[in-house]
Amino acid sequence: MVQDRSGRILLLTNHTQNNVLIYSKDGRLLDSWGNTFPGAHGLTIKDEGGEEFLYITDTELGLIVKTTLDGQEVLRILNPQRSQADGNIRPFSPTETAVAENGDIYVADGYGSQYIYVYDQQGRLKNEFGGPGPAAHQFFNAHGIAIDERDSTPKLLITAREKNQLKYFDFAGNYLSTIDLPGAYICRPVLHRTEVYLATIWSGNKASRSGFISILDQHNQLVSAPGGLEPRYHNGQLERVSQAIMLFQHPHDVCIDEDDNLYIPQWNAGQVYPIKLYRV
Amino acid sequence: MSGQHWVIVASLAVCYISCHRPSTTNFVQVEDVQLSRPHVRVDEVFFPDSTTVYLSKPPAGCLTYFTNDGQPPNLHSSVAGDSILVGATSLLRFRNIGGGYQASEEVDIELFRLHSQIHTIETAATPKAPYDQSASVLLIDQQKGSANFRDGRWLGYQMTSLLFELTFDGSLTKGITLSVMEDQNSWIFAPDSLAVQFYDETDTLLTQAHMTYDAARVKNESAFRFLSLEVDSIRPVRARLFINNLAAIPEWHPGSGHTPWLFIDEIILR
Repeated sequence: MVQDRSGRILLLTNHTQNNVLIYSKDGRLLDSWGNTFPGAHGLTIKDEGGEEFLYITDTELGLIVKTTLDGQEVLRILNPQRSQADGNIRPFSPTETAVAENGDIYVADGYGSQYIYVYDQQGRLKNEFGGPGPAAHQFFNAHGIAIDERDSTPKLLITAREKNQLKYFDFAGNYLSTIDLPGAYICRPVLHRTEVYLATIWSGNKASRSGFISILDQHNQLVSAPGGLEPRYHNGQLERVSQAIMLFQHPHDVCIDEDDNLYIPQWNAGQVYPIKLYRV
Repeated sequence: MSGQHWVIVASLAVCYISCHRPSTTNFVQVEDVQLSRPHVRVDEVFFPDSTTVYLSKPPAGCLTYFTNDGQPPNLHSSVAGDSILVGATSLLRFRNIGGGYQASEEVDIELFRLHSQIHTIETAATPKAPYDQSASVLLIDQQKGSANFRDGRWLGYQMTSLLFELTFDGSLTKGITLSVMEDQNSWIFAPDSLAVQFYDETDTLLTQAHMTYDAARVKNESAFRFLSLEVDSIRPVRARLFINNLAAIPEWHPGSGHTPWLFIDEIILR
């Protein structure tokens, strides 16, 4: 879910009757489009030279599509057809994208190969890094990716969901550091002002319907957990987090508007509409 | 910034296609929201002397209530602290209550104080590879299997009827408990019924017991089940334990028609 410049809220679904639903901030349905993305998963919005574009990933079709806000396709990126050690082609089931200021497109292949692929604006593959494994620079479900510009050195912030971690990389793909969030199965980081917002789809022992929202401050400390227990640190280490109330079942993204209100769409939650939290 | 700064809003009353209908926003109230279940961790489910149950702190303004008498916990029950020391076979039932929220779902923990080994398994049904370790060792080792059925502590069976023959050292017993896993998503079902026959040294039937379990009902989450056959105190020499699996996986399941798996990690003498 993202917000465009005019304040509309855009929700991506995998329902091919309406892949994209467009709402006003008070929840009125304004428009809808899209019937070709059965595995629609990731949605990023990027202002490029004054015009906004959407980057949609489809985990079933294994592709990324760049469109205008009303659904006109501009670019399509398919499986990069990289070989793996056994000679087979790596799987490609991309979960999210991030677009840098120079136009490079970073693709997190979170349900496929666990690589981060880097494309130029014409969709040509430039680089790859990460991959599956336990090492610090590797991933186990690289579910989300964003660009962190909160300090003077922009860098990539990437989810390792099964490890309950966020990882920093530079734009060349060099590993920098890890943020541990024990018990938090986080989807993708959403940067807003000085905070990082994370839909935490499961928590604790990964029981179903155990989600909540995690909010990190400018020091990447977990300071707020709507729907979760109050975060506690002991000797600088975050204690294992878990759900407190069953407001959320499986939150899958967080959208923050200009008034700092939160919009939370969910996965596998009985087709419930997104939940809005008003900032007070 | 804390979570209390956010006002919780109910799901937007959204998506009337027509723009002419005014939008309405319903703010959810505290009493409309249910508390999450207590987070409970236990040292050992099977223990020789004692074991400790640990609880996470409940949400602010709430308490975790518990019982050990089989009754559902409520506001009149005992309040749990950070931990509970247990020295006897127990069924502990926990629930979070308070803060104006709806009470949480219940969490039940069954714990077993085991005597030193006083029964042996003479004959056992044949488990199926790769879950086919020695039943005469595994099922009386007093070690609880984990939630991972591949951890080497579970025996897996894919047959409809199982028979175990046990012998005893003459100690007093009040029945048998079968420790199984129920994980329907992994095609692992609990038994449909159990029966036990106890015999004395002359091979005379002392007593018997029978129970049924609703194995075919949908259960979305994996769980340990302890199925007990209770009798009046006796001193048997031998017992025959009959375990009946579902004849086939129920119709509602993707594996409908196939023989379900049955996973056992312990046969406990009560």
